[in-house]
Amino acid sequence: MSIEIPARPVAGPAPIGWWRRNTGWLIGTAVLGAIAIYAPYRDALNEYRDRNPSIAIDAPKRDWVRFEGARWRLVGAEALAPRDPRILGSLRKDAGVLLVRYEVIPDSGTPIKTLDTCRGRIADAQGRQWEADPVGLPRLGGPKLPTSCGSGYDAQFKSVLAVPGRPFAFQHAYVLPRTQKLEGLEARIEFGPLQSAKGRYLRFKL
Amino acid sequence: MSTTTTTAGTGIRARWRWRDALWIVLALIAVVALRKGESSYEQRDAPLVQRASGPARAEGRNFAVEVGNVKAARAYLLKGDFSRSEDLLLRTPGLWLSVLAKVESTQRPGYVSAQVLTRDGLVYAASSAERPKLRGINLSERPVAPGLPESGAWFFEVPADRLEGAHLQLYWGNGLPQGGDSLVDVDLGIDAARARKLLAEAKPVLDLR
Repeated sequence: MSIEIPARPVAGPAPIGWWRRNTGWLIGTAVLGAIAIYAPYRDALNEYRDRNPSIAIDAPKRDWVRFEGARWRLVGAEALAPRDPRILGSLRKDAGVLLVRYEVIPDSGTPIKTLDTCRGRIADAQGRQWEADPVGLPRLGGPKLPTSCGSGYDAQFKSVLAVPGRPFAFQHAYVLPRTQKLEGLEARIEFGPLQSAKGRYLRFKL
Repeated sequence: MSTTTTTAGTGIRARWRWRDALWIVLALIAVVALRKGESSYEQRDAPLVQRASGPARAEGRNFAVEVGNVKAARAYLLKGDFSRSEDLLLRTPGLWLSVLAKVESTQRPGYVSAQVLTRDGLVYAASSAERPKLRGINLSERPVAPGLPESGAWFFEVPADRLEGAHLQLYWGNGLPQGGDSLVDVDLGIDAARARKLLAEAKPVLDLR
């Protein structure tokens, strides 16, 4: 006598869904898509930063900081009073003059030409910016300092050059609105796109 | 038994072929629709026009401007300078159109450039800082900085019959604005009557000495 066992339906392997079957492709597409979007964005950002430096290197007050093959220091900032005798030329009535003095000690091997490509800038808390030595700057008296970071002329109109290992003093002059307060301003040292600064700039809080 | 399996498999394969074909057709429709809706090179290179009407303050990228009065003249009489002692009569084959304005940069120092767009689409760039050479008045190539507004006028040489409907257009920098950059378009409010009045009042020689 044989016992008959009724046939049971055999449960086969569960069908694999479309998402699981294509997981690899989906991940690959997502990764490649992200790269395709990010790579040109990064290139454009770097190119923009070369011309418009946006990464600040904060300099401690009155202390030396290393940047672009040299050590830098803010010596002082002085807003000239409207009737200051050092203002020799004509200045518009709604403007004032701000002098910012620095010292730089180039490392040996840093070309003076590189330092001379520096640009001075003042920015306020709202992000408004002013360039050093603008067109409307009046003729100034007082101690004469070079306006470039690596070379210039002294009071006797003799050429002076920054020497590695020795402090070189220079000055940037700005024309700002007369109502502008010194507090909250920051002085910047920037370099052009050909230098190695790559979007970085030196920031001194005034 | 085996016959049944083959039939079922063929059915599934056939259904998948239809679904694949449907996806391909949908993708093609999407490609065609996207290509048709794609902006042209001209549209991508075109600046973003911000319309305004004088004399209210208008703002563009990095600058603000208040446009004032408009004046016409046939020629300007200018004072001589160190290189030319005698007075200079500055003529034009058309008409000198001067637009008074107060301009200021809002973020960074630089330059604001101006041009006049006529009703029929012709563009006349502002005359250079040397023509007329009026230091402190001619706004062409005058540097502007935040918080330090500059007042003066832009000067244009335009045909006398193209004043009506003229617009003043302003942009940041010395080069024409790139795609997406702002181009502030100010309606100078010169209708037919005002154009006739400007022409009638245009002096043969305007003394600017």
